[in-house]
Amino acid sequence: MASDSPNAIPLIFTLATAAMLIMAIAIILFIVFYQKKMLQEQLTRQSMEAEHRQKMMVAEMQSRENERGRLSKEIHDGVGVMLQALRATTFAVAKNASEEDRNELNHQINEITETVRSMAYNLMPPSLEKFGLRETLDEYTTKLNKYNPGIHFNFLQEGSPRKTGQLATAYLVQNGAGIHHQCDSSCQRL
Amino acid sequence: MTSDVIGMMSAFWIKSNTFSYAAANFYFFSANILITLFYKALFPRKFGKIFYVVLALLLMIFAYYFFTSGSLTTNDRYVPSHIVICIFSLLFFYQIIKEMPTTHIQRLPVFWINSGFLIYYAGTLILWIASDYLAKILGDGFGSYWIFHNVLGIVKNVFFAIGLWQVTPRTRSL
Repeated sequence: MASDSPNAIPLIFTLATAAMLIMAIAIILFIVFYQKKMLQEQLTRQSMEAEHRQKMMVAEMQSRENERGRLSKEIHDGVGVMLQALRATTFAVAKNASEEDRNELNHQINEITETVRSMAYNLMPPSLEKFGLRETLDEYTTKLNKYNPGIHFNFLQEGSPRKTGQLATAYLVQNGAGIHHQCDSSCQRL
Repeated sequence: MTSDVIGMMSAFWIKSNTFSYAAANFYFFSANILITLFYKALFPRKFGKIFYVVLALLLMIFAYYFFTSGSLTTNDRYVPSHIVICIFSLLFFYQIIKEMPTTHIQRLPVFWINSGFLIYYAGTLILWIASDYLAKILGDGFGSYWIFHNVLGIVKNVFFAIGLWQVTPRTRSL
């Protein structure tokens, strides 16, 4: 700029125009980049939300299973034992009663005991708690084959089940098998 | 925009050549203060002191050139403020990218205002650096070349208008 020749004038205006255009293009690129980043952020947020929901669901399922197990144990160990004590006391008190009355009493107490046992089983099958899903379903299949001679039930396991949700899976299989009880065979893939 | 209005009013009211430069100086003085305060409001409070320091430095440089150049028409004093405002503008873009304040950046009013500042100050920076040279070479023809500066000023104000349009609440048709 020291010389007084006008040669630098086009260069000055070219530089100024270039600076302006570069900034304008940079702003457009900024908008594009921002939108891309925002989309990526949204996807990440959605995936995190889904993961959180999944975790919450697993925690809820786990706590429900724990509570059912506790209730089942209380019914089995508390009410079951009391019923046995009631049976013994009742027969001791009613030893002079007629054979028919004693049978009737025995029948009623057996019915109550069976109902309580069934409640405890439905809340949490003992085999599920003690041995796991595979053994429970295996046992269930054996029972189904035993009580439904016309239908053949087969249990096959692929892979290992997750620890959480085993109770729900067991019920799902049982209910599903219930739906198909009139079919010739029942096949469920879980 | 306030500084634009102040500059325009000063130029209209004070007609003599020397006082026109005084008006321009007053315009840039007020513009520097207002724009720095504008960016201070945009950035987190913890950076507040930095803006005051930058503003003080800018005004000191401005005053130094103003009192030592011996000529009211020397334009070098405007260059540091242009560089600083470009830096503020780029830093604000960086902050937007970091914080992601909205889903659609086009709906953020300050984005448009900041873009206006960046385009105007980046475009006119070269002109201000070379303005003394241009005035010397072109003489009376300098004004016609200065249209470039004014066009950038219009672009800046269009960006401001878009920004203000984004501030106004949208009404929905029934």
